[in-house]
Amino acid sequence: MSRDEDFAAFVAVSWPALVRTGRLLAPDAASAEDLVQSALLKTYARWRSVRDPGAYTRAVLTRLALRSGRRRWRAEVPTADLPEIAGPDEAAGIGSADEVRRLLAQLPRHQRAVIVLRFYCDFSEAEIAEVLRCSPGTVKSRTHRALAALRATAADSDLEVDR
Amino acid sequence: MSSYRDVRELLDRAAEGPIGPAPVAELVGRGARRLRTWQAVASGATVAVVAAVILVVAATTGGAHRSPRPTGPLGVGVTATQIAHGTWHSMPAPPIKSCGAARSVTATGDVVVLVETDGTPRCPSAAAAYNPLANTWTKLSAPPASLRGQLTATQNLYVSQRTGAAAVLNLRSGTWHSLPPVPEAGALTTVVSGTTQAVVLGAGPNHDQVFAFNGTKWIPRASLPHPGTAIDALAAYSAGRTQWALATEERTFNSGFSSQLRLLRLNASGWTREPNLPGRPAVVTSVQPLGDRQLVAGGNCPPYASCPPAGIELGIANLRSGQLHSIGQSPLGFALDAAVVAGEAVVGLDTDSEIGDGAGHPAIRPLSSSVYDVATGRWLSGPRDNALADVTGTAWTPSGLVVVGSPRPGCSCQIGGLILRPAMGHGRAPSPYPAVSTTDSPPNLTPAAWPRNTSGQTYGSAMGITVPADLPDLISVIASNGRPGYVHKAPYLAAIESAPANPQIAATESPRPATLPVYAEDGHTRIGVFVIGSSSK
Repeated sequence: MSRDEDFAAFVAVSWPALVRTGRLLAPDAASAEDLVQSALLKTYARWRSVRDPGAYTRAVLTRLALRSGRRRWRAEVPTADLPEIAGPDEAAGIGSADEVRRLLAQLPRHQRAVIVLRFYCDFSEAEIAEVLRCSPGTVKSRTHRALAALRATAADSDLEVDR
Repeated sequence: MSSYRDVRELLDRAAEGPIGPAPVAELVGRGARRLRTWQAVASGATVAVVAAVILVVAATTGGAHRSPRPTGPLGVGVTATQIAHGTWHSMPAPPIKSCGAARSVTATGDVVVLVETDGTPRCPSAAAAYNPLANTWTKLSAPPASLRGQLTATQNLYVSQRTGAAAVLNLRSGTWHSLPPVPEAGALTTVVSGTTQAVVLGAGPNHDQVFAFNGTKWIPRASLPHPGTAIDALAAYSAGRTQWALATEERTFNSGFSSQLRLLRLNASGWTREPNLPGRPAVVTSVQPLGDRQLVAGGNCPPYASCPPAGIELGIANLRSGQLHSIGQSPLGFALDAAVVAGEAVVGLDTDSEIGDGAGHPAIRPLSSSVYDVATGRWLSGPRDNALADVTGTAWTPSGLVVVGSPRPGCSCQIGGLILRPAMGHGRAPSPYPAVSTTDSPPNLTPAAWPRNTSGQTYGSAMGITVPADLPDLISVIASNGRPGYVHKAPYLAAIESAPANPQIAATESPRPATLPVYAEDGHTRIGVFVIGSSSK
């Protein structure tokens, strides 16, 4: 198969999972799809040398999400409040996803990235350290702080985080 | 009450939601086009070929509008060729660190960096200023709270948040003052008018409200006119007493969106709608002065639209004639981190991670630069460096192009910086513009090598000089009337380094900019004035 055919097959299969990962990292659903598309374009450019396209794309996706708030261009239209946070949904059972996203949004970007990579993408601490270019010890400490923050915020929001 | 047994379940829940079909064909097509562009550049294709590729890409993506290539004197006369042959130099380590976003702005000759906290005590909000002449950092007092917002500065640094909260840092005294909240939240941009008055534009639910700070409170100004529902994107430009706004108006149709850049001008009767600026970019994010024109940066995707990702597009506008000349994107990267006017050039900076190490991990790609030569309309390949992995701020200074960013992405709690010093000895490219004498400076210019006028005074550019004592007696500048000339060294340094008479007054009443006389090469024939501290961001 050609590069294009291989890549097309990969996109078709991986798209839903990548978009879900993007939702955990990006401020809103539209941004998540933008980030995923950007990451996939980078994967396409490195298609022949990338051994694990899924891991590579998630790593690039995480980096893009971390960088998206730092780019100077975005600073021109800053958002002091987090625009993706919806108001409280009074409808039982519908607001749950929003509540959780609100919890995640309150984490600093790096802690959020560590949590997503560790618990959603199932990356090892060493792999996360490689992606984020930091030591495994830093990954551990950020994970610890992120979980503590999640627990504290969840308690305030009537959510429970047991782990 | 919701209940989650572990973090994985919690994350699964947060990731829920409908997912549209994968844009497979679009991604393959765009990936192939970009790869071909990248390979053409990376394989050492000539600049002419690169320019042709850009034109083809622009034409196939709808950038068919062409206006005459802008001409005229620009900047301080440093050419694109000199910048493209320049070298990166390290800056001293800043006295602050950052785990959050860092933003910078040029003020009183310094590059002021403001960093956000990441929410932990290890990385609080902080501020520092870099003096390019002395090549030193000064730590400033920390912001009173976690500030994130638009920066604008002359001799004060204003920070305004979209929530309406605002603060000012007196750069002389180093003290912060909270300002009254802007009456309407949601401001899209903040500028300093010609009288150093902070003005926020694009506030309110429709982003059409304007407020100016009079030293005590925010005063409503004339609203921005727009025919549609709201304004999507906005950048403002202040040239003396004339204020312009470039607005992208919301225009949604059943078949999608169509953005167009609208030019607004402030006069005695309020904002008047000028002719549209057809072309690209249509969605504006920033505008910078470029000689007697403006560099417009942005894209073509309104904030509410879920567009495919695209790099920053650049255009050169002539606000008085209503022309916008697209210069596309840098051919060297998929998406620019920043673009800054530098002398007679536009420097595009790009850091990215798509190179990879072949083992499935993205690798840090060196900081790449590409230089758009305004004189010839060509993109040139600029120097690279490995020191920065992200760009958070840029400033064109007498010492060169200052770039502030993070040394490493991800876990880094550091900020760093580089200076791109032009190769002043490099031959000047043929230019139809009146030559500025400083661009013809000999290589490795030393104080002893400065040319002298009939009065025995040395004259030349401050470019590349890091020690004030090494500056020539007459420093080349472009006067406010566009004529190249010189200012005397002593008042120039005094204007940059002067202390305020009263920090409290300076913090709230916005000090006046310094105006220096500009002389011809003889040092006594006055030809105009040079204003320090009146530019706006």
